[in-house]
Amino acid sequence: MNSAPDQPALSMLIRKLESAATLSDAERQAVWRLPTRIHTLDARKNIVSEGDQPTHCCLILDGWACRYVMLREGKRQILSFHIPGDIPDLQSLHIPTIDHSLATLTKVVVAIIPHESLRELTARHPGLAAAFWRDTLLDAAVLREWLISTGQRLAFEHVAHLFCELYLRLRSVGLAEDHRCPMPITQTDIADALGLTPVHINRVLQEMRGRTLITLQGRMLVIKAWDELLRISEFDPTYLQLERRPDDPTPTTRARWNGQLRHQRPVGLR
Amino acid sequence: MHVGTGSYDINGQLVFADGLLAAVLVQLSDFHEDLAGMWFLEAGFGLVDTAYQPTFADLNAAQAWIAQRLAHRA
Repeated sequence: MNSAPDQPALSMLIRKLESAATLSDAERQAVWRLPTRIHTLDARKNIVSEGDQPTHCCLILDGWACRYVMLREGKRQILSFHIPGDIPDLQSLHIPTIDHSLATLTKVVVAIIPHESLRELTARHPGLAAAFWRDTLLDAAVLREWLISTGQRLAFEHVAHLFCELYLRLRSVGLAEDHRCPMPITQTDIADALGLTPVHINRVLQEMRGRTLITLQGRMLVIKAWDELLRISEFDPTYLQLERRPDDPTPTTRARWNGQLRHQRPVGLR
Repeated sequence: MHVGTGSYDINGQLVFADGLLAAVLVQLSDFHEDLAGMWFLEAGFGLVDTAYQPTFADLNAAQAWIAQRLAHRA
């Protein structure tokens, strides 16, 4: 156990929470006093498995992870990607049995925080409870956006949307800048997240390269035509609730389509 | 048969069962590296429709899979 007030693990958590709300000195001190254990995990290992009843949460300090569900014939649906600063199993604090698995995609370093300590923290500091609650709400917002992509976006638009999202999320935790970000996941990971096949993903990436929208080199994504990628994927960053920068997309692109439903057909009509 | 997949994968085969179009297979181009030369289920109809389109080592494997789908209702 390490409870030194300057441990980098908890600085990461404070940074994450402060991206959403201003913490008081007392709240910041309370987070710093959380007990943590640091674990390093190899790539492609389960952190939490479906059906588990964890007694702690994991804060990702380094590397990428994903939530997923396995179906028959080895089919895998990835439900979310997680990057440093995320606590992908925060919901286990209040939902005892995990209904999906959480696995590393790369080598990952996590800080393990006992549920008991988090419960005590949130009971004493309602402001921190609200900050954690907000984090799970943002999680749901990302899932809603993924659902929109799965239901309504073509493969090309869907991949473009994912790249815009990952870039902005990575940038918000200081891991991306100048339209460049790490992309350590495989085409199969992307396919399993988007409900497409690796064949589709490869075709899309070939076309994106051909149109000089992106380059992918040495696990690094470089977005060459940011505005074009935003336009293609109809990317509206509102759902990420991030601090805006001058070259960021306008957060009102979608509102103008409100009320313009394409067509309706009653259920049961032939 | 050339198929407009919007990619370099254009060499295709139509698969018929009892006179009805059951599937469209497309051979993967060199851009797919480890999958190059394999056959992708570009589209399957009816019982051959699937949420996840498989890739086959050769046309025999594709045909066997399609026959199996047609023989057994999911």
